[in-house]
Amino acid sequence: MHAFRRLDWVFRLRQKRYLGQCQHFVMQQYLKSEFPPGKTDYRKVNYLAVDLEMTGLDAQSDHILSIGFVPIENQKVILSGAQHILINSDLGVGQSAVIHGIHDRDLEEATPLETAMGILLEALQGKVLLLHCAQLDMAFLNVASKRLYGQGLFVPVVDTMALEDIRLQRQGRRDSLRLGDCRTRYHLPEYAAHNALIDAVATAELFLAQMRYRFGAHPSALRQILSIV
Amino acid sequence: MTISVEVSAVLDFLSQCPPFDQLSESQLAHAATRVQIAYYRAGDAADPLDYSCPQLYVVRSGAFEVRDSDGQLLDRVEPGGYFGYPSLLTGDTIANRLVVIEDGLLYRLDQNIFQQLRSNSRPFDRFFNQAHAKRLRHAVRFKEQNFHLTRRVGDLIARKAVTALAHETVVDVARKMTQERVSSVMVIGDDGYLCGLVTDRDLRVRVLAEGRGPETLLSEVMTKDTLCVSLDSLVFESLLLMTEHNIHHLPVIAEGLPVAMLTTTDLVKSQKSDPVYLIGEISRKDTVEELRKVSQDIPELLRSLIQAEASGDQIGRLLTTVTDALTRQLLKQAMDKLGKPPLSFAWMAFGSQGRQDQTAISDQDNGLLVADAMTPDDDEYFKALANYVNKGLDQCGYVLCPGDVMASTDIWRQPLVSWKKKFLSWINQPSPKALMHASIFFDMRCIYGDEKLFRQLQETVCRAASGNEIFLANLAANALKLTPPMGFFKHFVVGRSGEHKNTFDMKLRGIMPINDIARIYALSVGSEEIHTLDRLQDAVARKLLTLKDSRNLIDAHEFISRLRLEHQGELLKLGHKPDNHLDPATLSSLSRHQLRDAFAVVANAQAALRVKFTHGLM
Repeated sequence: MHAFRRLDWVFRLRQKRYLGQCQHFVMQQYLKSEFPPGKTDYRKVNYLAVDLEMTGLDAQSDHILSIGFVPIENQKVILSGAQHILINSDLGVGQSAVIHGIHDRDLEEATPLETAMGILLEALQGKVLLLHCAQLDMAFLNVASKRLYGQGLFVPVVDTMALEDIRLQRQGRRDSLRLGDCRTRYHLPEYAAHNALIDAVATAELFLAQMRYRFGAHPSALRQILSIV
Repeated sequence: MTISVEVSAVLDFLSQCPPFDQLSESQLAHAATRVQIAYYRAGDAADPLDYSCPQLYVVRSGAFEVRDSDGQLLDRVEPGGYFGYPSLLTGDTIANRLVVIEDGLLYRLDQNIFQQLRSNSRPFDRFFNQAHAKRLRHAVRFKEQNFHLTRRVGDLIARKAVTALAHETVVDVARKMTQERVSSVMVIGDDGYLCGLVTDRDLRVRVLAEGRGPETLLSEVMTKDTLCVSLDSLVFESLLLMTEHNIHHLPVIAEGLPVAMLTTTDLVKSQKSDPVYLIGEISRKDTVEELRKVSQDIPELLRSLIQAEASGDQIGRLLTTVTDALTRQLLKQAMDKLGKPPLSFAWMAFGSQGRQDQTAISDQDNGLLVADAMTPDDDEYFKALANYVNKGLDQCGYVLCPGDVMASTDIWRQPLVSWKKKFLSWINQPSPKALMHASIFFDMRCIYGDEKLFRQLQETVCRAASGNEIFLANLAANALKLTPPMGFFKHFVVGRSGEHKNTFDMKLRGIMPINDIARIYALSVGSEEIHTLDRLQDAVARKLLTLKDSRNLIDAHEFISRLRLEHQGELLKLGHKPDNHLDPATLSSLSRHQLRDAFAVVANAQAALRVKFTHGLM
């Protein structure tokens, strides 16, 4: 868990240290990519909006069922870069089938976690990770990364939930921070169905709306919106 | 990286939008993966559309306006609507600007995928070409159009040309003309091309009067170098040529070969479907029977107006003008028969004739307003007058009102004081039930007679109605019972059984709600406007409605009216009885799309009406 709101040289130092410790090819390639410095105009940054579906909320005992992601470039959600990966696991779906609509039979064609993480890391190169409720998803990604590569996931993160929390606090409001409720405040449409990919797209759209409300057409440094995870 | 996957939420949305709904599953899925999503915030400074790389924009949520560089509104786009396609179609750079009315998401598709979809799907291609044409029409919609000026000679000529050869004799040609019952022949040379013209008049002036014999050759007496028109010439041009040169015959040629003869008779016949001609005829008829014959041309008038792309509003006004003329002529005939009326009176029209939006099917709604000094003896006279006119109108195709709202019914033939009492009872002791059938009376217009008398009644009504919250609330409650036939999932709600299965009533569910809305706004401020579009414009002037809302309603009214008239024109063409029942399945996907938009406008306006007026009932 690292704070990226600090100075860029701290950030690059950490990146070097992670790379030094890294034993794994896929992770090495990822860590060699150039992440945008904190002073970059946030509008020029490429993001990858990610959402995970899990069997539960405990990163130690539960596991990831699926990963959905979609990139943002030039302040547009690029659907041609969207991915939806179902993850193969011996543990079965259990209770969460009710929530996510994923059933055991869907998982037969699923991908091993290692392959899935490889695809995610490749897509994440040089990008800022965009999550809604980063704490939860990062916990699962860190556990997976440690298991597969022997080290946590080094990545700059923007958390749409944290951004919304700050905004509401400033206005002295205590409204719901759930993804759907946040979207309603920006007049974004409601999606009937939910899966990791749709929620990743929903998060990306929410982010665009938040930025438009907060900064209008003005530039702002990426540092201003990065989260401490 | 692996292949991209479609986002089901995006795919589902596109699959509901025509013309994407016409794409194959794989085309649609491919299109969905190529979407880019952008967010816009209301009130953002107008963004010039980026024409360096033209895109198709699909509105996913929110509301947008496209304006040209002068700020003129070109299009208002809501979810499921498009913009950006004109420059994709034409390749031109257009400096339009985008104004964000409500926060929203736009889906963008680039040039490559747009052209790919166009070349792979004909419905897709057609949709955007038509949308482009419509946008262009929208821009010129305030231009006046005079339909008989746009008709072409080819639409008029009925019979084939009668021809003769230049070396035939006058006697042979005279026989041929008599046989064919024509007053002129076209003379052709050996090459088959037109070389002259011979008319009855030529035979008299150049043959008989000059003492030439029957064996004279045509080439000696014909008019050479005649003026000609082509099939594409405008009727209007031909008319000018004939007037200018004082001639009655014009050969119609195609590539030098004679096709037909255009005569002044053809032109007169063509004017039959001109309302001016029709009204002129009506004013010359002395019997009901003669009027009945003239009124048989009304369906033809309607058809030619529809064909000439006249607007629904123009057609409604023109048809009503004809009804007004018929009514007046019947009144004159009756007065010729019955003698001078003993008192001043006014003949009033209600409902669609009052509002001037009659169509192919209109029954009569009328009443007679007499000066207060009316005695029972006087009423005998007016009863006979009313009977004559009501029966006459019935003969002319305006069927007797099923609700008996006609001057021949005793309660609708009253002195001013009784009419006032009647209206005041509706206004001051309103109940939804009593008002259900009374609303047509509030669309009243004086057709003939004493305007001053009529205005006294109108002023009383306007004064009593304006600001009367309870009355307006009751009126609004009735108006809100008729909703547009749209289901929760944006599908059309149609009749499930009976004669009109799978259809909905365009008048009842589309036009009437708009008329109701306009009437309530007008009455709420005591406005004397009767025509629905005038009422809506007046409501803007009095700041009851925003310009945007009123334009939306006017457009919706126009669109549904036009659809209804086209439907009726189609039935008339097939020789069926026209009606108001439309099966949405017979509409093109584009029209369905627009109809949905129109109904959404009506539903919104009804919601606003509920908020504004019905609190008087609580």
